[in-house]
Amino acid sequence: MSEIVKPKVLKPGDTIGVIAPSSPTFEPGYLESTLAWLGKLGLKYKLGKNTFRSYSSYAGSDEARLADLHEAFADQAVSAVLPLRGGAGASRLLLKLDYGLLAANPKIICGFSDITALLLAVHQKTGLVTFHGPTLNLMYESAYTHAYWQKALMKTQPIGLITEPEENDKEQGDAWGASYPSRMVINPGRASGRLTGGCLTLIRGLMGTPFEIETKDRLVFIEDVDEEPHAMDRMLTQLVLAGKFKEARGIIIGDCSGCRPGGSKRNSLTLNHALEEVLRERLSKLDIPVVYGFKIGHTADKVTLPIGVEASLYAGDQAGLPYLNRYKSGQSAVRLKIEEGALCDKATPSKK
Amino acid sequence: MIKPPHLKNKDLVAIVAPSSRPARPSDLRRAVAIIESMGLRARPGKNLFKTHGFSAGADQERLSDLVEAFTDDEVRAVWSITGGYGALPLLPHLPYESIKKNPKLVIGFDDFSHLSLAVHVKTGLVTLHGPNLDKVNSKETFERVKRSLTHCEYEPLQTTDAVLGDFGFPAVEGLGKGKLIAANLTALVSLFGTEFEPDLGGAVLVLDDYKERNDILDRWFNTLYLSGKLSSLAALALGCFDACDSRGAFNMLSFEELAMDRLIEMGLPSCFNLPSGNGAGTVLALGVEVSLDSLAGRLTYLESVLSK
Repeated sequence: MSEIVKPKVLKPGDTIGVIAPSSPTFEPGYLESTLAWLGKLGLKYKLGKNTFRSYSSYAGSDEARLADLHEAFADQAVSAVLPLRGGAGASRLLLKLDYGLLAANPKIICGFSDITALLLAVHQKTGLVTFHGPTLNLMYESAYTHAYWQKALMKTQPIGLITEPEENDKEQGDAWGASYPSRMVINPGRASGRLTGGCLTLIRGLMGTPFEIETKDRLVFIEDVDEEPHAMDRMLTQLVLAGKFKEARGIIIGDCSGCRPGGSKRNSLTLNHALEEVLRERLSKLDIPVVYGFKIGHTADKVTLPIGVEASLYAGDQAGLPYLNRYKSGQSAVRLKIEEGALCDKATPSKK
Repeated sequence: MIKPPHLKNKDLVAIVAPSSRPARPSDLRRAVAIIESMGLRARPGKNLFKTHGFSAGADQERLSDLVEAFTDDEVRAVWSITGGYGALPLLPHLPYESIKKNPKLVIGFDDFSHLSLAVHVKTGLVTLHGPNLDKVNSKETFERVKRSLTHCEYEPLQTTDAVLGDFGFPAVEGLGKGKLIAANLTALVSLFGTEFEPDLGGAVLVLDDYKERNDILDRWFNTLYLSGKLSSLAALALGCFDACDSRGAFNMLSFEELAMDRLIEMGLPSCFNLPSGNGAGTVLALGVEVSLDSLAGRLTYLESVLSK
């Protein structure tokens, strides 16, 4: 792991490099309204040349997507690099990514889901603090999401305590009409450490590669979407068997929307049990605190978390009752606090 | 490397379910009938029909059937009845020392692939990547599997195999020789970063998968690529990817097309549609020296697979 490098805070008047390193954006109108939102914040933008390309489920060939990423980081007029969308394809770029170029031009990069691959690889290879938050098309999806995005990318102060969304910002559950408790304790305890993490499917896909997640002394956050509990079990078990949680300080599982029996768009096994049972079975006997339910990924409400920054986790032990304990905002037995500022006023290139 | 003895008349076969439980009670009667029709005896595990979520019983229950089968000297083969999910969490607890001391046939695929790989890695035992009992569903498959369990030498495997009803084609023409590793792609990647991960350097790798989306398969294939293990292979054959599709995404390339780009870039001798995995009805032996001729679409065993 390289020395931690903080990128420069985003200010009104700055220019965003808009790229599509994974899948293409949706309809043109979608992009237009996204860009209009940047205008409301006083931000300008430059679109990557290849943003509108398409190749299989990717936004153009690997070479085209990589060229846009490199160009955005190299462009001195660009202050932050914001992928439009996740999807698939970012991890295909990792071997050919010019980490030296990125280290010499430290900038904000923010996204989630498939973008996890870039966040982890760039953070681990250059020490740059990267941001796990909404992709550009989702940064105004709810007031909660937007507030945290601005707090994380446009302020140098620590993000502080991660609050729960207000009742009226909450989603209406999913198609099953049910939602998990907002936050629950899987394994009680208290821990602090630098954050790392992302989408479990992506973390799993980097195992055994030079970009494998480094969890030593970290608080690891994990989320996913539309994965059946058995698929979550497989991915979590792999991390357990690889010793990834032996050296970690704590685990924060996000609200995994659609990760329920039969809820997958992929294959479903009958006689599933719930994700909660998988989490309790695989993670409750670890020696570190484990919590569930933070809005960090595929929910409309999501916080922006800085990878590489000091945070603290408290998991109270009074949350023994599965399903039944629904902690009201402010009374939560689970607390996550980002203790350290993630950005600086003036960026200095990484030494590596 | 340990070659287990081939099966002889009246040998005892343990039926295990380390993953999901059989779909129907009649699956077990069918499995017993298959084994007995091969002139062998069957002993079903005690916990085959236990239920714990998606698995055939809790970890401890599935494990105890496996331990009993592996540690009983009378048992000559351990055969998986069905796939699903559940083998991975059991791997740290298998009786590897007993398996080394008393080598026996280990056969199955799909989720069982986790187990065939781990047993091979931890003990050096030649394990068999072949149909779970609920996938022995044609006369050809029955005959092929029976032959594979009861003979020391294996015949070559061809992409033009009649059972598959499909024809193979090369991605990169060439010849590769090395130790055979045959696996379910999802299972193989699930072992990455763990102590059960096989050494793929210089190996001939055969991959298959079942009911998975093309872009997900590309994800796991990319993991192989990023890890550097793909370029360290002697050769690669992609087997059956039954029921794997784009699930509604009309502009998505097939897994074969996406894999082809990588294979050509690396110049790795490789071919498609080698009969392995669900629907192929074949048995491949992990750890044995083979050669793969990607142009001819032929996998040839260079040594015996099982001992007398």
